[in-house]
Amino acid sequence: MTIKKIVFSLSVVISTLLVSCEVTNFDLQDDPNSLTPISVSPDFLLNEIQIRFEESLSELSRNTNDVMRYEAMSDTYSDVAEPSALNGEWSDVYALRENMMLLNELVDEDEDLRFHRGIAKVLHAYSMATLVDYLGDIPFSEANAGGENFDPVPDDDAAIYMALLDDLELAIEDLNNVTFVPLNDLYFDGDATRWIKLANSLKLKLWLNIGDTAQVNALLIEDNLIETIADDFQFQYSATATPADSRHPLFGRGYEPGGQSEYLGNYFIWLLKDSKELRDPRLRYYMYRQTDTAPAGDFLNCEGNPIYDFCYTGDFYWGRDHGDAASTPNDRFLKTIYGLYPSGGAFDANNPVAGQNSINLGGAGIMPILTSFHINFFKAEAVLRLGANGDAATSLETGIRNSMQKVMEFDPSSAATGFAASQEDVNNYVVSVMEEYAVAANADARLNIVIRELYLATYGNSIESYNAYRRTGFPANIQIPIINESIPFPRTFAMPLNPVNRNSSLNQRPITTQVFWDTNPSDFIN
Amino acid sequence: MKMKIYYLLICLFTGVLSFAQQKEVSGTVSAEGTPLPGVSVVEKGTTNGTQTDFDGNFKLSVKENAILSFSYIGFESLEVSASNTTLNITLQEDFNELDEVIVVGQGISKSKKALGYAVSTVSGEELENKAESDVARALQGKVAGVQILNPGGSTGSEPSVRIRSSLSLTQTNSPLIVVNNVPFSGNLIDIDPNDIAELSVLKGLNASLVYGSEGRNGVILIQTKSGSLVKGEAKTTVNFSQTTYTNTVANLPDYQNKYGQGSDGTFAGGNIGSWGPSFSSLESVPHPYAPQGDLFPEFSGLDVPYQAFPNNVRDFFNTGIGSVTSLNLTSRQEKTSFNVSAGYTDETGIIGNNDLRRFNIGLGGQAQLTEKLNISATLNHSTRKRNSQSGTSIFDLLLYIPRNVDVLSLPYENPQTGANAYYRASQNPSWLINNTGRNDDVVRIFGTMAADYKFNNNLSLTYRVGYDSETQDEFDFSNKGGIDDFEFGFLSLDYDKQVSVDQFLILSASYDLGSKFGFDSQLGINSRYITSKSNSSDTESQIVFGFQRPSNYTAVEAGATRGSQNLAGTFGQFEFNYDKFLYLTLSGRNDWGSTVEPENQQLFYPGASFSFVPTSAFDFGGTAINYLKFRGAYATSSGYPDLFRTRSVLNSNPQRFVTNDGNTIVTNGVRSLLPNPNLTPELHREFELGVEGKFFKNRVTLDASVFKRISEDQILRRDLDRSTGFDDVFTNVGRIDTEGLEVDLGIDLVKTKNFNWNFRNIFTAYETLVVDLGGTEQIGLGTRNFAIEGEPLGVLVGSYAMRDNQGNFLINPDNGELIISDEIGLQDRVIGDPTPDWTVTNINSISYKGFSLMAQLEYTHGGENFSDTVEDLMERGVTRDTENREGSFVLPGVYGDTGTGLAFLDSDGNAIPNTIQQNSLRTTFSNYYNADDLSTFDTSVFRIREIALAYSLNDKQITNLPFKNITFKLSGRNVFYRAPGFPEFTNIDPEVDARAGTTIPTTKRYALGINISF
Repeated sequence: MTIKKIVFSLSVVISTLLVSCEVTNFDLQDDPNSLTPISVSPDFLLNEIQIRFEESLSELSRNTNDVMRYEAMSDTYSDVAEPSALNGEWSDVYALRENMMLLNELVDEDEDLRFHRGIAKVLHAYSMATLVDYLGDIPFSEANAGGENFDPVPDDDAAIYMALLDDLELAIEDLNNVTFVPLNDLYFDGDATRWIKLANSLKLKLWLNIGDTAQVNALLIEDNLIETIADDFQFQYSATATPADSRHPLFGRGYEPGGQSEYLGNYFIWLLKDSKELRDPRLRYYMYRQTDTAPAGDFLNCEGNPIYDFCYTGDFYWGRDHGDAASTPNDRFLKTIYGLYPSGGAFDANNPVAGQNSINLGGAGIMPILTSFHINFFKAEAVLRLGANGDAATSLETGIRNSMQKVMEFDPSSAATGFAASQEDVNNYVVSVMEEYAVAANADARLNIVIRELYLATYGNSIESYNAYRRTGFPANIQIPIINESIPFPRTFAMPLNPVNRNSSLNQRPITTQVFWDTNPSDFIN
Repeated sequence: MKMKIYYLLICLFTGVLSFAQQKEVSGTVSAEGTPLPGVSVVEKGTTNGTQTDFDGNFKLSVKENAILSFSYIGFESLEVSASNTTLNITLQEDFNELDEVIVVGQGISKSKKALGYAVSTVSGEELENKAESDVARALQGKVAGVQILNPGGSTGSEPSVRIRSSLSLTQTNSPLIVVNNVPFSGNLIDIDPNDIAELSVLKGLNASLVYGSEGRNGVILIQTKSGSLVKGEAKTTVNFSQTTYTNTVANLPDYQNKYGQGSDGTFAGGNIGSWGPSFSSLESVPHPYAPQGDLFPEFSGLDVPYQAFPNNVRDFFNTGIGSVTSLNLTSRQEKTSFNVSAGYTDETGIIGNNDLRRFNIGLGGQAQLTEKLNISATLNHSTRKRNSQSGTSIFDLLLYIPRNVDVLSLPYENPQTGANAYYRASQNPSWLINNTGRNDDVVRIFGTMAADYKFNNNLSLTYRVGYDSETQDEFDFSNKGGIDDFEFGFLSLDYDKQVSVDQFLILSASYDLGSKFGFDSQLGINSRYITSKSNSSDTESQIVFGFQRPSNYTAVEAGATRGSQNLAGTFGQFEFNYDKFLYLTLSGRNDWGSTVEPENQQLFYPGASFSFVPTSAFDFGGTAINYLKFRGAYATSSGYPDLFRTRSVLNSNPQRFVTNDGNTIVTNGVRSLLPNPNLTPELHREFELGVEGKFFKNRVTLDASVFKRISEDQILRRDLDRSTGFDDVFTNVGRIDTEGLEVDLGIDLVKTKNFNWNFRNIFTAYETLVVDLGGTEQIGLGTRNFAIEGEPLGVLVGSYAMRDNQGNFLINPDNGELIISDEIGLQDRVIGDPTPDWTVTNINSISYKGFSLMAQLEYTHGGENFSDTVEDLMERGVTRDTENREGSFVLPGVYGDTGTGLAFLDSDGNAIPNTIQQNSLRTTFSNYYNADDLSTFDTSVFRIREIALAYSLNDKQITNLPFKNITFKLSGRNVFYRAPGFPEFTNIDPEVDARAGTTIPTTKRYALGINISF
């Protein structure tokens, strides 16, 4: 090979590599691995909004289970309502809103999508108002501006409520003018009239919080609320674990190989089991006992300790007192766990085994978000507390009956004969409560009964019992923490840590801060 | 044609010589009484010459009255008249500097005197025959300004390397690795430490300019044995080395063996903590598996003695064995040379199912094709296979298992299903080791080709291309039956391929401008094109236990990504010198990068440096100052963001939810990362000043640098409050400044013929300050680390124990416990700075005849870290720190108000001391360490990184040896450390406690190596 040949071949190699088109191509900014906003489907976007909604509500509810004594609080209020508690819920609500805004852009170009927009607006208003209930002032008017504003300033909580109520009017208008049904409606199966009832019921809930009698009366007169179980606003889970865990989040607590670490609250167990002459017909649906032996020894270190109110309520219901911070023995497969309703677990037919080995619904439960029993209890409360129109006793009775019916009809095939509640049990229960109501000394005592029954019925959605507790201070006999009594009850939760760290317009404040509609005294509840 | 004339002249000249009258001169050359072999002896004015032999003797035939010139590197040359036929010559050592030439990147060699910036060089011998399979770990502590962050003791894990701290908050801070002058995309662990001929570290931006933005984090230049060939006298050498080492766990805590499982002094069989009764107070307890009679009837109702198992944690760790074998063959001829090297590494880790196997083979050759054209090429192939567990959750509970639970003796699987079995509903670490795994298989092909064409003595053109292809196969699996992430079982298969093509074309010019001025320049074009792709499949829900193929899992997801990135640059570097003692270099580079929008793609950044060598300019006389150089540099560099951060995309999830009627719900949603079309490259600036010197007959060497870096337009992954609609965004914000000092001071304490002791000290200190965050208060950098304006980069933020003005703890008067900031609604604050104040390494090298002893000692001063591990160990009561626990404890402090966080005062306005007695469990477990600042510790640590003893024999000492040299080496790594800032018995090694969460403990290694050359 001559030198010329070498030089020639080298030059060819070099020029090919240096001047090839790849080397001069700098137009590489499009990400080939993701969808672009142009290719978005409004149906799939609405699905994202619907799922985010469920996630935000169910997480908020779970974070309140121990505050509201459904589960035993093993910490102090300040630990439960700590800054890291609501990071995820905050994210879900504002992510929902961001997706709604993209959906709104699509609707602006295509009026046929008004059903989509109506649903999105209702879900947005619901979740945003709930976040306000938990946190008070939060960013709203400056929020979701993307790169325009990294530090949105919080709005006054009352003003957010008003803006959401206005938005609900627009949502109703959209829902009255639907042409095109979304591909997946996970809540009402494409029935716009039920969405409108929900929008009205949500307005009732918000005005009830605010305590505006005139607005409540107006809604009662309009009378287009969730009145029957068929119209209940709830989220239905399934038994699918993979590829997408679609099971009830509370199911995971007691029915997985790790066993349940949380204890159910002794107060709540006692309220169902022993507070009345009759056992609550819902008890066997609500809770499942993993054992038929009573706790003792290492499993019952509270025994004889005077600070405990219950320690053990009997009948193999292994729960714990509110605020019991003692360490836990090896009882994950012995303690009482969530039952058939609402989490899709096992019906208690005196058939104790570890949750993971039980016959259960596999997590195909529901979250009762805003249902006919809620609306009836709200109506009763509005009469008693705000002097609204209506008959509180009738609403109370309807509320109880709707709750009972909902639980019993949830999955009748799971409820073993001999242990399932009968209509007679329900009637007896109703009679007993209504007798108690009839002899109650005053409106407060009657309101206490209404809220207590709401508290019992809204198991699986402690958002409503938390709000009711702050509105009314009831149930009156609710257990106060057995230790650290001086740590105040969280009238709101701490501002979530991530937003506080990332948004210079947000500051931490004490959990004694009250949301605008909570006008009760600061030491009102414990 | 010129060539022929030259030969002709030589022939004529020698022909003339042969007619002159000749005489034979012989003699000995020595220095300080020792014969000097290899001294060049030349008859002045001729090419007639020879070299002294091994005993310093020479013999040369010269003409009458000739002058003989004796020269030898490192000695002053001597001219002697050949008046006698026997000459005994003594040469004097020359303490003045040699004009050392080093490679400074892109294959450009420069006189060390000319450099305005710091370059550190580590010879291949310093990295060979170590009890380490990884070059990065072998480098630890050896270079000022270079930090090696160890990820833990898992075999095959890859440490991260930082040069002069971190430049960027979000871009890679890993230095560029350049192998045989071509950028290398792999990790240092891909390189066989025994194949390295020389390693240099370019620290500053001025030094790395020719590599452009890719070189902004410093450059590690590696010449492998195959890539550093020289031509010359025909010679073939073969080198073989073999190192075998043991690998044992180094930092387990000292456990207490007085108290067992439970709380408040009461036994509780399911507890994690060891706050139970003392072993002397209780005879027997139920077997840990007694409550699981349905699964394990043999333990049902069984009582076992209540006793401590002192080694229940230690027994979990194995002694790993490592072996590194390397073979290297080099052969050179007058115009060509060739090298082949092969290495095989095999290491087992300290925990089960953790091992590394690596095979490297490299070929290299070069040929001087014509007088003007030289070509060289290398080709390396490596395979690296590593097995480890899936994730690190194995260590979540392992380090603090109750003292009376002998975990290894317990069955870890459900005998029927193979599911996890343990004394509580937690993950049994043995189950994880035996039922999960991650197998990595990395194959790399790295080839380089270079052509140099010399137009004349002043001008040359170099073209160099590198092709680097890495394919990585990952097999990550879990059987079903575990806890949490491992409940249903999964199998993730990943295939990633990345190919980079890197090209350089450089025109070099070098001219003498008159007698005193010199000029040297490089002009270049550089292109780097990277394509990557990955294909993955994620399956979940194992069907039949124990079998791992996608067909045995029910839920399947697949992914594929593709990406291309293009970087190009042109650069120029112009060096002027005056009389070779004053140098000025001006440089500039223009980059184009494809990862930002077109209007932001181009960036120009200039630089300048000077070097002044007083010892060349003036005669200092004497032997006190042999070499002195002052240098200074200013440079800028850029950093382009990663791919696809400027344009909007959506997330799509084809399986977000499955309804009760079996419908799979598809979702599209706005991605939580906010795109930023205005993103621009980062701009970094650096000022550097340095001094280099050799003193006292070169027995003291000094190389010191101070630098200041200003990094502006930082590309931050700024965490956003989700109420903006997004979670984070890559944005150019703010400024980060780093100041640092690096000193390398070597002293020959003893230097005699047989005994030498060199004492080398490497000192590094730096601080990185967040100067400006563009109005944001703070930016999250990790779980607990933040960038906060006015604070050092990466400060720890957390909750803290409330204190009064005097610094006393505030105590809750209800229960006698500490009041902690987050419990009363106060925002977290800065609780520590993880960056150490300074580190110093002291390397002692002692040699006596064939023996040499090396000891590397290190001390790191300051820095703080939040330690989850300490918190866990203390809260679980397993170490001797919490052994003294009988009775009650009163936390020192004064009563405070849990509402306001202020101290209560008595009627006289005085604080009220706490007198409430609490037991040890309440104070330790439930309270004290909940304050993040009390779980934060000073990370100062003293360490004996390495001790090595070698003995070497060569063929001159033993004539009958069948080889030229043989060396035996005994060494130990990480043989001792002590971190006094941590609770005494936790034995925390801050080096692997550097991140929140538990990591695999560090290891201690002992090695025996042998190196033979033929």
